[in-house]
Amino acid sequence: MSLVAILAYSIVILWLVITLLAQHRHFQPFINAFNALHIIPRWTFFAPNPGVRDYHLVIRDRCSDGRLASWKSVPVYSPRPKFGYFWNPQKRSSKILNDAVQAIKLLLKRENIGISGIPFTVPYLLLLHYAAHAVPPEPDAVEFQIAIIESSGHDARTLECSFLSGFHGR
Amino acid sequence: MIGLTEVELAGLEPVIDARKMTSDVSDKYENIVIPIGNAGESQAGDNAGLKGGEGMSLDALMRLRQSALNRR
Repeated sequence: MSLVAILAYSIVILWLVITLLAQHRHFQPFINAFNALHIIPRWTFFAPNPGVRDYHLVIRDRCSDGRLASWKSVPVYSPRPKFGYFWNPQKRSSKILNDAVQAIKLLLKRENIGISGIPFTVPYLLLLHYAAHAVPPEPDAVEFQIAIIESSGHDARTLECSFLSGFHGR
Repeated sequence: MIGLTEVELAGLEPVIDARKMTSDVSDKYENIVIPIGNAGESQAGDNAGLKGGEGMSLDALMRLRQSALNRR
């Protein structure tokens, strides 16, 4: 093996090791100081804050006698078709719903919208409309509400509720 | 993505009682525009200056929003 080849292998291996170390937050400050040319990539690539949670839309009815029905899952994601990697227009609808969920979370933080202004925004109306039509109502339902549940983890999932709507007439 | 199981749905009440805002929202959603029917008026952050809406039906919410937008 020539000296040039040894040098090339060494550089590539060193690059790989530094790249692996750069994925850990403990080493990032030190490596970033020498990464002015951005030749050390991070796993997030072009998305500095990628989504690491799944979103679930749930709905429940309030019946005429005041009883609350159990929460039901609103189907947001359709099963992936066989050739979905090639042609999957259904993904547009789930993308819109996912964007609406994200938008609601952002709007809640805005002072000029907040929790009281949310019901008149497009993302809220979109989710409300979709949920109301995707899940059949209880026979004596008079009102309904929706909630956004986030799950993280795989085996033992952690659930958090990031938004709970008020009740609306059926 | 795996949907919520029946067990998870049955145990949602305490999760909802303890609801909180999570902060991991990507910056790319800051200026999101949702392309639906009234695209010209569909800026996600536009509540047409309206507040409240609790107890109203979906149709009533949409009518109020539309009339508020028409008054502009």
